[in-house]
Amino acid sequence: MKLMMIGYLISLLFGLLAVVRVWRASVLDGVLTLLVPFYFLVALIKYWSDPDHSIRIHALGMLAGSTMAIYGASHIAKDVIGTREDRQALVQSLHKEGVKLTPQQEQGLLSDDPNVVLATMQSLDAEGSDDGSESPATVQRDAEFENPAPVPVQERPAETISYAEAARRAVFNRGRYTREAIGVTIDVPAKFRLINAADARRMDRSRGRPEDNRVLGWIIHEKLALTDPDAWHVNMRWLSDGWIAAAPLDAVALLDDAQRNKTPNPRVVVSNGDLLGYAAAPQFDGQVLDWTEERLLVNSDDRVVDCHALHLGRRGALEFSIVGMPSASAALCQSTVRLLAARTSFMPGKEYAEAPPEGLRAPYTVAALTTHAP
Amino acid sequence: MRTIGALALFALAFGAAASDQDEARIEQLMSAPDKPAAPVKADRKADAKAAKNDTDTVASLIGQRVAIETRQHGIYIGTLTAATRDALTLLIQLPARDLSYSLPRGDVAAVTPR
Repeated sequence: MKLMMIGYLISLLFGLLAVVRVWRASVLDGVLTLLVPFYFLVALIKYWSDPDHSIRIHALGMLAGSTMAIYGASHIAKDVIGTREDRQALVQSLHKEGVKLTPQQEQGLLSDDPNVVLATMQSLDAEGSDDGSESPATVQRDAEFENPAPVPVQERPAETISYAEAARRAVFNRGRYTREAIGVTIDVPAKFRLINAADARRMDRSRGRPEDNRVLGWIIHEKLALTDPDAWHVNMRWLSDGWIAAAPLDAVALLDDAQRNKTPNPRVVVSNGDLLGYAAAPQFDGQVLDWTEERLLVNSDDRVVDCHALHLGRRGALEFSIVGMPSASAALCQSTVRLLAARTSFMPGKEYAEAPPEGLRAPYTVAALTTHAP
Repeated sequence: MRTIGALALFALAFGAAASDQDEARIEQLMSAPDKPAAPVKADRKADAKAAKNDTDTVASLIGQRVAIETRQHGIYIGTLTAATRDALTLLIQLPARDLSYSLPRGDVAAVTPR
């Protein structure tokens, strides 16, 4: 074993030195000598008579090392099985330990043929494993391991942080906000700040609210602290359902429909309350749809307003909504969402068109957005 | 060409001015939160005349389902239960309960039967 390792190391050393020497003569030959088996023979002949780059001595060293390694490998079995005296001592020790050996096993262990000795040793090892403790290779797998029962996948552990911590982590952005994928730009007013979707979702999670996959961010006035749970903010969402059909709006008829609708399906964010009326009736100017709802909160006598302004685009609508604001602040609520919708512009080719463009069409109309029709 | 340029500049300036006005209004409202929006200025004499003429008309609608339009372009629908000089009262049917909802008379722009 040792002889094999020494021979291998000698061969490796001379091989590396040969590569270095050939490399100095030619990088290409050096690389080929390193990577291509037996290319060193080419280099050996090529530089045979070059005193600076000849690798004759190196080839000789490699040959000697390889010979030692091969000789050591051929005698490795003898090293493992030991001398005949060693094996006789092994048989005696086995007898003392109470291990019963058959005459064939005893003969095999004391044989002069290393292969027979090795085979006998392996058979003894196998018997010992069967009698005693099980080796990992022979451990029987139970049926459940082979055919495991379905185990419910654990849901991703919810990040539980406080509202204050979520607010502290939020990054405020000012100026122009561009969403290339939608093709929209919002010139955020100077007094407002924007937090992105990830921060907005974290804020919602910290309040135990369900995750809104349509949210693009929140916009908050600089005078309001995000850490204040009562501070209002604008929800900025992208309704990616496609082009939305428009028609002239009859505010009274819309309110009538909305109040008769017992199973509302709001596509915009709304507060948890019953619709009292429109504090500002729906109006659509060809680009922006805006309206304000007054609602009576469930299990409460508190009245709030939900303000919405949607800037329509070719493939959907960008929504700005403030929900749950005190009714007395309706004017502030309306002005803010309208301002943000006015500051929104779609890139060329992404703007709203009166005629339905090719592509996705929303399964609802402008009117249905205001009535929350299913 | 000059005319188009001038018009474009005017449009830009007008847009910027309107936007600035909106921002200024928001700042004004932020400074005085939770106050009802100032009602649209109306001619008091005209209002008084209209109130006299409308009193009978609106009173005749008591008990009927009406739509009330406010001066802030709001719409409310319900059963008119009372009409005084100061307020109109609607009974609005909600899914879980009925609510008596009062609208200041000064905010009412129109009352139409449904």
